[in-house]
Amino acid sequence: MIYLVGAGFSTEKEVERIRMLPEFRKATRNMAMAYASLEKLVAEMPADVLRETGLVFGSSHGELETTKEFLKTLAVQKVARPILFQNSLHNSTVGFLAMKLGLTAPTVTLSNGMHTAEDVFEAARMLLLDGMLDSVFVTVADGVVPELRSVMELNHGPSGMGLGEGAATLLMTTKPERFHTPWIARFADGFRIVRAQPSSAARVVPIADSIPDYDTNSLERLALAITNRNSPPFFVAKRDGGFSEITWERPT
Amino acid sequence: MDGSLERSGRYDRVAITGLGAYTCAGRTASELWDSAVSGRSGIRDGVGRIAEAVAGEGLLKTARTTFFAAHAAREAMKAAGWDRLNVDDGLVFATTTGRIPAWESPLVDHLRGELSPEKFAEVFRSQPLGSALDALKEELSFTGRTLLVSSACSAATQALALGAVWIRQGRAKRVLVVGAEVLCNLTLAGFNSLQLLAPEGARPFDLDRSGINLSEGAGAVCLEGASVAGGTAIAMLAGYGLSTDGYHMTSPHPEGRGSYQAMRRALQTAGVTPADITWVHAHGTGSKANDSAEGAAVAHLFSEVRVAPYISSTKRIHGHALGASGAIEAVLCVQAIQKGIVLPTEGLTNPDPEIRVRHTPGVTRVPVRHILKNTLGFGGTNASVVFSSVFSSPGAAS
Repeated sequence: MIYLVGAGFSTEKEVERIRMLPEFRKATRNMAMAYASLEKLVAEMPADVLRETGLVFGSSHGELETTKEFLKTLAVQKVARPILFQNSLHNSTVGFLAMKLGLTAPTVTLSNGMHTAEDVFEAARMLLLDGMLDSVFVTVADGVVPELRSVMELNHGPSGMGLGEGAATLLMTTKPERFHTPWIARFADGFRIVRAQPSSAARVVPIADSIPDYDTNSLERLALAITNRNSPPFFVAKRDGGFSEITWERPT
Repeated sequence: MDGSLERSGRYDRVAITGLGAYTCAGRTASELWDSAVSGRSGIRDGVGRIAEAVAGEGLLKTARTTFFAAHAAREAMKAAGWDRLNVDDGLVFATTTGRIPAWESPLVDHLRGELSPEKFAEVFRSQPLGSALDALKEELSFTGRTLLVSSACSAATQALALGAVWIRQGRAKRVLVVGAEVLCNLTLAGFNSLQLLAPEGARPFDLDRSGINLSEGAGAVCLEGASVAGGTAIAMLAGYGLSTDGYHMTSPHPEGRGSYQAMRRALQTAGVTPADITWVHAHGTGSKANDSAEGAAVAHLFSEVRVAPYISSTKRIHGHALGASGAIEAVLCVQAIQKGIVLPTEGLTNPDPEIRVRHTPGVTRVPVRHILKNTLGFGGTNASVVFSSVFSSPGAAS
């Protein structure tokens, strides 16, 4: 059985506060957003559990802002800046968080467009059920690059909401007894991800909410749904006409 | 991490049934093997570029990743006897560059105001790595379960591990694992800025090693549950282990602590001991930091073994294809098991005395029972897998 023992999200205010901290001077926006989403969870975790906790991280666009800056500096100034390159990789947020939090357990970075959130959820489940991990942060982050906003919006499509950014984290475990806080939900038979084929009629339950619209925001929506005691099982529509469904049980 | 599910015996073992490769050192798995055995390197001027070496004309920049990946995938599937991927199969793809050649130069043009947002938006659709996976799925007419791993240089080895977990948990009976990378301005200039590029062929584990050879290409491996693969298995993916350094963004822990943990976990899941390992196929990039750290980790792991396993790196042959390297090198490992040959480290003439391991003396004919394959990546991401002969894998029918 897999339990959810915590959930967190980034807020613009928190991200700006974190970016002012000296240790975040060289951090990317994704790094700051991801940290903002799990900072409170970390504070409540026993130290020995944190050391053994893994991280499955997902981002659709990756470190686009840093990549843009590296390529621009290279083209215009003919200078390749090492700090920009090392922060341009999709998994640089994982490397940064591992250093910041002292993580030595398995970490994985995934990217799969609008399905990234479901993929990190699936990969985390695989690693937990395999026994490779007892607990894992499931984190996503995607940012908007101001200089590329118009292009990103063109490709984002008519979703009905403006392009946004954000990060979210679920803390999942097979050993809830190791945590100080009680579990929030657990996933048994209802722990499934369903994807309709792109060609099939979309069976969609639209979610009207105030979550920023970014490629990986399914995880943020899922976290909000689970932590809202009145929420039904989670459905999310995909721009390709598919949908995902995840269900859970609450403690009685 | 008590391994109780593992011990319950509910898991199927993971068989390897097909291989494919498209690299600067050979456009098929067997060509790559022939190059490795004969010491024929695909590196020119310090880089393993496919267009110069084997691919010829006609490769569109936008399609390079897909071309490499699809070529390797089809070869592997044909070897495995798979006509096609079915909807209940799995596809795990590994890449860090994706389709970047399509948009990295237009990005600069756009920022300079020389390319309109509408025009740039067309090529910018290639920016999310998921677009490379979508293109591969289209090439293979596949609509089933997928994952795309982008854990730097450990990506393909992690992809092999995740593919194996899918099979062991019964969520797929067949999984195709593909790793593919392309050379691009970002990685060439980026690694150069870190002063990690060798001007000529890399010399892994050599005292005079001067850096890595970036390369491009793809490797593909077909995985099947052993219970369904039957006699078609050519080797087993017996174990896997992942770990994180939490030490530095681009350098491994100098004592190789993370790599040691990944190797130890891989041996545990494989159910073998250090004494069982015939060959350590090293990450062995040829960089000062990687080879020292990996060497320390290997020396530590095998410190109490009476006869240490051979260790070598094949990077000088096919170069370092970053996130695809684990898949390309898996193709060599499995053929080594089939042929009973351990490959040497090309370019190693003056071993670094600080790296206390048993270097492979040359092309060595020996029964190869278990190979430990390592990768270490930026962000301190480590992954190791154990490949075993069909007859040596724990649980094999005697």
